[in-house]
Amino acid sequence: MALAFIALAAWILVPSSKVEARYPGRIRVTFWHAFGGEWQPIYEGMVDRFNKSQTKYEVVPVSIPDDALSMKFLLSAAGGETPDLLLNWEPVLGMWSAKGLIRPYDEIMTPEEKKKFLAQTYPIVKANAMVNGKIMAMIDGLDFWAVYYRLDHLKEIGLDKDHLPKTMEELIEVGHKLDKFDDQHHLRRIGFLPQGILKFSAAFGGKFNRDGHVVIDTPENRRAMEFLSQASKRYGYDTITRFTSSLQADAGPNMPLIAGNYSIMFDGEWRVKQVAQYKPDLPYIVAPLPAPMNGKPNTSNTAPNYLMIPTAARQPQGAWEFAKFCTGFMYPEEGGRNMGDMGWIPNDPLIAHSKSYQAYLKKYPQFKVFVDLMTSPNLGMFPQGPLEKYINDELEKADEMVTRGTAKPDEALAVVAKHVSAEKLRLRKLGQPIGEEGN
Amino acid sequence: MNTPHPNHSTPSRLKKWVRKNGTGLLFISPWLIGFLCFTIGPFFSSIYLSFNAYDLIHPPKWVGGANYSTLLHDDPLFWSSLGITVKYAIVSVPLGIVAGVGLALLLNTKVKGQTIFRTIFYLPSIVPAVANAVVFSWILNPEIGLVNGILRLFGVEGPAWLSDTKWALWSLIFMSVWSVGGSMVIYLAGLQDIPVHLYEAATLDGASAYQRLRKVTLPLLTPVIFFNLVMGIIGSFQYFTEAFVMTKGGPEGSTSFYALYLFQRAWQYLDMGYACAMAWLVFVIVMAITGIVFQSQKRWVHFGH
Repeated sequence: MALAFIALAAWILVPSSKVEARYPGRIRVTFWHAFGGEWQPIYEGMVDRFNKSQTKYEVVPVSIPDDALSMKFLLSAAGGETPDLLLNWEPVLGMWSAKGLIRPYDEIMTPEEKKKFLAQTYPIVKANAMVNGKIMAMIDGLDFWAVYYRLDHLKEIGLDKDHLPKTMEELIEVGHKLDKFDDQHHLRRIGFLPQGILKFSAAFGGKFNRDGHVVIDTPENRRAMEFLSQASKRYGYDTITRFTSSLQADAGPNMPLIAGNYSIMFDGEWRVKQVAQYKPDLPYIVAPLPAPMNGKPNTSNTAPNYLMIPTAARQPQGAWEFAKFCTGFMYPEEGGRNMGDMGWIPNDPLIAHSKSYQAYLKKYPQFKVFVDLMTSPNLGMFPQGPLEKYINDELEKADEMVTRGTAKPDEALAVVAKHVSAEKLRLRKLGQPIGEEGN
Repeated sequence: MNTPHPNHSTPSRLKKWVRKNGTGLLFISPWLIGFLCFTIGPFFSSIYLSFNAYDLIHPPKWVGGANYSTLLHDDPLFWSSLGITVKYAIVSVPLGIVAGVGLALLLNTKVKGQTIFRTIFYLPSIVPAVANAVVFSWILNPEIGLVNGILRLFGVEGPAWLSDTKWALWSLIFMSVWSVGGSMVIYLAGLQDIPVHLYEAATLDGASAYQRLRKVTLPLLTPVIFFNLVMGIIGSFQYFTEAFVMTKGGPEGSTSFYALYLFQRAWQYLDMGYACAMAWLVFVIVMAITGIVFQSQKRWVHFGH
């Protein structure tokens, strides 16, 4: 009975697959993604190129708001009417794999393709794509973070691109010299403010995944949390809240880096293209995050866009053909162009060295910092496994408590670890999956 | 010869019933059809699912009362979200009644442009909740928001309404008054139902305006207040949209309403059986409170018989 109603709801709520087909006679591959606004035409332009290159398949893209994508997909899976391919950037890979919602690419790839994938893909891409030894997603854009410096602001305190801070402690001090307050002592510009344990833990040698288990309350993660806590304390939570709430926009011509709200930002690779689009003459430079004392150099957390093939997909082979095309696996030149269009980092060195991607790097030299980061051994990943979403939410709460000063860093992480253990116990009692290795 | 056959009485009773209730049923038929097609099945299925581990994808797996016992004994978030929701209900429902009755009284006076005022006050209640939430996120912005802008004119630095644990819940409570127009219209209809001769008699007896309000208006408005009280209680236990859009349950869980936590369990952690158990527990709580309110009505609701 329940399934019948869910199927009915799915039939009503799920976007119609009767999107206009441009190539009658070809096999249709339905593809849901969450790119909207300025990104949608760029991303779907790549779909057009795929369709033009084909004689067999036609990929029909459907853009769905990112906050509704997962729910719509779950409804469609319950009703057995899923898309053939799905792009999602929420931390769902572990959970959806454990629930059998998506199928491993291993089942679809030829042995040669799999061999090639394992041999040539950058290790951090593979780590993000695989669950329990199976390739559960192709990564279509792996986000990295690096430090963006406003050179005109640095000049105010006598620094330039050749004299950037060498440690994270120094970075904090430089940041404070760049803070600006108005006559009423309202903060009007922040020099540098590190926030988010997930983004910064790698710099302190912290990890959230170890030997197939999720780890949280480790000395390295505690040290990272302590560092972030001290950095926030210098401003005070109320001051930070007021400042961030006054910012005009996160993207577009008024994004914080362009508007000068921050002098130094730890931000993602997509900003390079945005700056080029809205303020090409902005004086700035990008550099890797300097290591803290006794920390690790060339660090960044990594956040993937997952291309996943649902278990109920009717055209998994067509979906795989398209996944290869857009990620550039087996098609390095196309991949180089696609990665460049979206402002992303290639998944393997063949794409990185393709003519199209080299042309992109020549046009946006700042981007090279991110490409170089790809091979760093010190990269971090979000917690993996069936509980990844829960753990991410808990870590965000811990961040908030520490930033507000309502919990000490070690207390906050201990609370997360305690909650995660309780959640595992609860799920175990209910017979729900918590990961093959018990994580 | 004329003794009616026993079977004849049923069709005639049915006919009589249809004749009596047919028009009413016809009026509520869109809702009835919707209820029968979309609600009643999931409603009863959710009872069964609440005794199962169910993730939407795999067949439900019977776990007996494990969902309920975990909720009641091992889930502190269940209790905290219930507490927040009860606190919201305790303040926002009476506040909505006072504001609704107050506005209705004002809009019941004979002033020029009365219909325009009524429309203006009614309009916010038909604005979609998401749109309201987005607008209020700006209004309550600590730096560039309207509220703090006005406070600043008086030399007061307002708090970060939605980011301060002390203020976030109160901000949502006060915001609920914005949509009081819906109940206001019902109060207005109730006010216009009060016979004029009662006011005339009271005035002839020398009753002041305040006495007329206390002794005539409010007692005769109690059936409408009772209706809005019940609906308000049910509505506040379902409070979701504004908190979902504006605070996502934060800061530090201070606006983690029951429905928000239920949604998170169901759709973010795929814990449908657990969420069904949550839904049924809150159903029982709401039914109990409604039952108490119904019992109490004998003491304070005047149906004018």
